[in-house]
Amino acid sequence: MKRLFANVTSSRIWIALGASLLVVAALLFVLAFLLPGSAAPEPESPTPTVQPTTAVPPTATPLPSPTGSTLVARVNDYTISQDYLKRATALNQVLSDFAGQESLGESETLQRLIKQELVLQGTPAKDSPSEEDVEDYIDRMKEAWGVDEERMVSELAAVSVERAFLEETIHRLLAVQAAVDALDAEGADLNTWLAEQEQDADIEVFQDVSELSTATSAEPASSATPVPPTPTREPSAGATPNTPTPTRMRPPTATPAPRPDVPEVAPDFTLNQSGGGSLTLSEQLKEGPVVLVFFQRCG
Amino acid sequence: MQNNYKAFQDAGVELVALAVAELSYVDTGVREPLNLAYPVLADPDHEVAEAFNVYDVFEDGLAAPSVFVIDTDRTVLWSYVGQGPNDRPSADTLLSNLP
Repeated sequence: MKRLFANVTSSRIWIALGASLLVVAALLFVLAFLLPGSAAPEPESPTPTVQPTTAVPPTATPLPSPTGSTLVARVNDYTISQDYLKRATALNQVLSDFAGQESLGESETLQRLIKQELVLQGTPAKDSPSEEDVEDYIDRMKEAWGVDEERMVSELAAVSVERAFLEETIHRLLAVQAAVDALDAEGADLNTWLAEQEQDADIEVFQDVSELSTATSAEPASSATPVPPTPTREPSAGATPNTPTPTRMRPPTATPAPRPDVPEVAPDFTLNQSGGGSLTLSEQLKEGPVVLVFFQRCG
Repeated sequence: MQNNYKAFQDAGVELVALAVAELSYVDTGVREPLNLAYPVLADPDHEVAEAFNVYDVFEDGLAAPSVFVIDTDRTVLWSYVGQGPNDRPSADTLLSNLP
């Protein structure tokens, strides 16, 4: 299972999957692009919702789940409850804070859960990740982020997330990653594969579709109905009253005031790249302009 | 972000991220757990962060969160240097400043 960490999954796959490690976390990344309030509509490729099949009318009645929590989505036999989604989103938020990154909202988290489920359902069952694999992964995260067990658990508890939920989530993600690796090894085109899975699956989302408009979907737009981006996100109806709202407001960003000492011409550089190899700015620029993003290291 | 990463790709630009950290940290603390699809570079000696004048802005030994839009001739078309740890431009802002 060490290999999972060393593994270099191609960008293509993760773009296609949008199913991230840490449920979540995919794009936590500095720019917070996916926060509903700041998500940008793609000018040329309308953002599809999950798939046309998921475009249930907003009036669709949420189903009660066996556990009593309102369901927010269903992928074939697999159901996602409001409670689960809230916890997944809250977990994302805590881990994002540890990583010093922006977290995702509920609708993006839901998109990832659905895609993960499609991957799990659409691939042959494999050896389940062991408890050891899960703990090993959690240890590496803590180490990388400079967070000890006590702090992690207490911050999870602060948003009503138990450690067991973290373990469950990591377990699931390791399984998803193993499945994606297997597909990749078979030479499958993840974009195409996932689009087919979505077409074939019986997916329902019991939420106002517009709420999902900022969701990640890297599939070809195909026949999906474009949904206008929603500038605001309201708490979902049916939310458990006592569950902390995992929404975190991003501080407003001021109009950029160029610092006088920022270089007018970018200095060239060559640096090692995570996953192997190196990147030289001037070489990369032969392919087109570059948006260079400095992460503030966390930990 | 994946979605927006695609928007960047559609716009013909590549996102390149960089952290003042050892490569191993970038692997296990950033790119893998955050599942980033674009290149993430390690600048352990903060040479590049210094060259862009974003190193240690907050006296924390780190790079300030910042973004540079760089044209093919290396001209910096647009930049944003965060004034605090979570100060970042929105995707809208950034996409509207692409060449």
